[in-house]
Amino acid sequence: MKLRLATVAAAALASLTVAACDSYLSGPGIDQDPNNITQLDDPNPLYIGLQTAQATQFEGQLGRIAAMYTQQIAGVARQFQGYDIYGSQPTDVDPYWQGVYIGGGLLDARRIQRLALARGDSTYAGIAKVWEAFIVGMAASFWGDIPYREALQYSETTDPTTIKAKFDPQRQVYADVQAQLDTAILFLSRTGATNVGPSARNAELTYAGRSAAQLRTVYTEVARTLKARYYLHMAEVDPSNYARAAAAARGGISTPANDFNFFHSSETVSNNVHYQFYFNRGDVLPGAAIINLMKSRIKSGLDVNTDRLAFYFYDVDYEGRRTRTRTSATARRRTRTSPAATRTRSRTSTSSRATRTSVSR
Amino acid sequence: VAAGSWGPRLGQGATAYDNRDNIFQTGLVSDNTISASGGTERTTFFLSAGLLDQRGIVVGPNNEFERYSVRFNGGHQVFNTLRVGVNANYVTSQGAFVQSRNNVGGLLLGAWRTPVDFNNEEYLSATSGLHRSYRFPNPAAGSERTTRRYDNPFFAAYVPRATSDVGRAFGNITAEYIPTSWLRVNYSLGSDFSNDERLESTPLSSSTGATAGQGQVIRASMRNVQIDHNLSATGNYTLTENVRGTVTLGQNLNAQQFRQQAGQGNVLVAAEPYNLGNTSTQQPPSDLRSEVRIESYFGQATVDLFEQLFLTLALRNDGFSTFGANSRRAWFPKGSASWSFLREPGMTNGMLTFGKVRAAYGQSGTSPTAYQTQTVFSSGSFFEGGWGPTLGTQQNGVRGLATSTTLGNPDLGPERVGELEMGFDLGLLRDRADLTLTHYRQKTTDAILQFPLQAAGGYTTQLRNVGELENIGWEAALNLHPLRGQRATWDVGLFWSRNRNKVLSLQGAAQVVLNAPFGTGSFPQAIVREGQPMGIWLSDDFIRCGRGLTVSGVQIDQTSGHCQGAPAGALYLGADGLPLRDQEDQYLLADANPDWQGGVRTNLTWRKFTFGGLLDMRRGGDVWNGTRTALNHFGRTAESARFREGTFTFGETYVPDERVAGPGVGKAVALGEGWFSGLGGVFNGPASFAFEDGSFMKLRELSVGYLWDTQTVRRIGFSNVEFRVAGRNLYTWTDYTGVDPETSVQSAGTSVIRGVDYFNNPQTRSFVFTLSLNR
Repeated sequence: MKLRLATVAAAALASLTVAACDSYLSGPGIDQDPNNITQLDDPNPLYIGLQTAQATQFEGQLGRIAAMYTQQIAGVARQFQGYDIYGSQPTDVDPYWQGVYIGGGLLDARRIQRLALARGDSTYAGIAKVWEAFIVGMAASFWGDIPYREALQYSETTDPTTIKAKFDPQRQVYADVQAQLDTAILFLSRTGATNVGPSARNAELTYAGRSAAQLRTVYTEVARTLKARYYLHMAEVDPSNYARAAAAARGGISTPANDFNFFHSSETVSNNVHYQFYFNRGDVLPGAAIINLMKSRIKSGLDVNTDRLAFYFYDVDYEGRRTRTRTSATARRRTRTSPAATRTRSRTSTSSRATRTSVSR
Repeated sequence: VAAGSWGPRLGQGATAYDNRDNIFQTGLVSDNTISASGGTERTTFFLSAGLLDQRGIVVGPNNEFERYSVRFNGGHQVFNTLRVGVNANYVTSQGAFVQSRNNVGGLLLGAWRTPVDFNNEEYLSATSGLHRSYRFPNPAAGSERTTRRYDNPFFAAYVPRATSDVGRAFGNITAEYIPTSWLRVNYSLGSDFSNDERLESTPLSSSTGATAGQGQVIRASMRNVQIDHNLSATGNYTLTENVRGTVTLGQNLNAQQFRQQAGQGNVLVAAEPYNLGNTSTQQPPSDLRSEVRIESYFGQATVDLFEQLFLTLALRNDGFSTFGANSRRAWFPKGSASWSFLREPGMTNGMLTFGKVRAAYGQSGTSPTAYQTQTVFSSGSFFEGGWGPTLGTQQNGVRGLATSTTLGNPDLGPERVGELEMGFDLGLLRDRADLTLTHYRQKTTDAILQFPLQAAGGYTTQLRNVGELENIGWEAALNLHPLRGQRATWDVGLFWSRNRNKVLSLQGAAQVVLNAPFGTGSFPQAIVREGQPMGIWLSDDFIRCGRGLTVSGVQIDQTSGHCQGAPAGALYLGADGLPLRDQEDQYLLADANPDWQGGVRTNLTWRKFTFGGLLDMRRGGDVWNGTRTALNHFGRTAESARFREGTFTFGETYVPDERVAGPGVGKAVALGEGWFSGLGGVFNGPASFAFEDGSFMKLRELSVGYLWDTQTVRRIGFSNVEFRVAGRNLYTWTDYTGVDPETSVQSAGTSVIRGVDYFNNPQTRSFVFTLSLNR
């Protein structure tokens, strides 16, 4: 009995030791992530993510701060009282700066182009290029010199601590953006069976429901409007840009139906970001300056009725006071991230995903 | 008028409500256990069962906890060479919790920000029956789906349900086989299984959640399984009478599996029930699992020379599934020596009765969390910078993805800690005293940190083996036994420790953010920076002298009438008599690590009575009292009342401890709401303004017990009966102005951040009555 038990124990030890080896430490779900996608050759999910991330970017804090500085809105509570009197800290814009480049920003705009071209889809690549120009041009407008030509060099196979992207001069970035838009227009001129674009998988949110051919047309217009906008940004350093802007704008967005508007639905996680902030956090109210301006225009007969005031500030009375704290109306959840929109809005920027959670404070 | 305005002064005779304390009650915990043990020469068993029932300190029905536990231990000698054992436990607990901390739907954020003339106890409107809070005092019919900005704390305590229902079974089977006198083989196989069913609900009109006002339900189920297998063989050897020892070889396999499934529904259809089926829209469910496997082999040899000198040498090889494929296995050596220099009888004398010196060096490895070696595509929502607005990646009915912000690191390896520990243990004064002193030097290399990357590269962080840290510390304990009689004994223990922590290298990174409990801006961040203690606070500050700053083109340090001649760190006052915020730089002004900690413990027995006491002390350790500066912002403190009207002078009648300089010295200024909701408050002032020294001395415990073992007790069937009364956290001596300097906040995820006071629930004082009936 004694001998047999010893043999069994030894055999058990031996078998466990052999069974173990390295196979115990690797395999799907063990050293490979079972929760997230790690391989992707379809650009569609990334394009949905890109558009959504840029909606949080363009409708978020940078826009709010610009709107406060131009007195369209006023910060009235908590941190926004500070922003309202031009208080700002270096870290305030970190998430938005990051949002220009990270997933949902430039990184994915480029990845979409690569995946699309691998499928021979110039339409998709052209649309992604328009978004790239939209994002980068906004960043150049907001920050001046930014990394662009040397951006996005990190990869798993290189040590990221040895890589540092150089900041390109703002003028060069604008010139590169114009070149990207020209390439985008070229890509969008190509037709053929492989040029399916995002419509096949319902991935187009801005112009939902349009066919590949319709998207080629409308994104060509968007590209030209963006060219016009970015020429205007540089017009004061080079007045010849006015003529270029005018020329580009002639081929730009041709009808209000083609406005470059991100579509928000009434579903809660799709509500316009400014709307969510205004109704859930509520630290801002309409600014006196713009209300007074609109009132004076009504008074002097430049605006014939009060419709526009009511459209801009729908729960605010004539004096700028809040009349209702929340209504269920969904009418104004369609916001402009349009190149044709106002200057303040066009200068806004990006979002952060990361591990950031929403903060009550 | 700002939404957070202080409003007019209360009139004489206005009713004041106790909004600080009225949400608390005296909690009650009862803990009953029964146990029995017995057996024969070959078979033994132990059985116990317990029931814990707790009613918490917050009013209402949602602050309860109940736990049932049973435990069985058994052993059987199968043969003379083989003994098997089993240990089995089952624990089930149900708890209901109230939201707390930094949460507009939580208890104290709403409670303590309420003005004193608003009665929170009337949390439902007398007219409409709806939720009323101070920011929404008169809810009209039809406003049941409107956010209240802050929830009334009574509403938060009575209406939402947040529950956890845990079942846990754990135990192991063991076998010990001794085939010959010199060899012992041990085997154990253990498992630990637990399942946690959670509900978190946000009722209609509550201010929190993605759909504030409209309600939300989160259901989650979390399962943890751990399997542990251990096989080892130990052989004894005796070379000569004075040289003997052991050799051990072994193997350990461990697997930790985690599974979480969670669903979130937004917009309640009807007020109740809190069920996913009662919600209008549902977010894509979260479906997570992870498995971490560890495979180790180890060997150890010990030598015992003359029963005086003990040497141990050990080596282990660990493999972790969380490491990159190229660095999957690592070696960790260990060695120790101890010399008992007074072991020989006759060497003792009255002064010194026992003496041992010891030294040990060992290395160990820490593993990162699972799956950090790969870059993934994330389907998580997009947050708007932390202000609350969120867009889901599912839009227009299709699900999107974005490349994760974290770059995978296929070369990730172990974080290695090497520690050298030296010390001695002495028995003194005929064993009336013993003294222990230990010194350790610990060095961590390849520390695993979320390394910040340049966003322009496409990613913001990568988990990397960077960083070298050092911990150097001293620990001392002195135990005195002044009375060692038959009828009375008295022991007094003094203990003291200090640790110095320093970051030696960060591979070129300026700093790594360890924790930003409330995001950035006016709130401090715990960071890692070369030459500084780990987790030192980085915060904004006012303009101060001695930092080479320029104000409106004036180099203040070199200019008379500004900072020239002023001490470094003096608060710079502008011409208007007010300080200015430094909008360029952030500073290291506070550290949550204490200078030292210590305490005194005492125990006295006299006849059948026992008395005990414990006093804890901490010197240093800064606490960020954001609760105070937030309440100042809202004008809810005695401090804000005192400086509400009139004029004051910085460095004199206001903040008299600050040294001041600059053109505004001596100028009287109005403070009031403008100051406290601006630079003097939590939201728009620098975070540095809220740091306070967290030193304290705390009467941790006092107890008295009595053992009743007379004839009477035996007659009713027990061998003895013990009574004990103890008081815990009875009194705190501190200059800290918040509730308790021993406070910490839970950040997103699970890490606990010390020294952050932001509407945290207070620590409790408790009185414990114990009755043990022993047979």
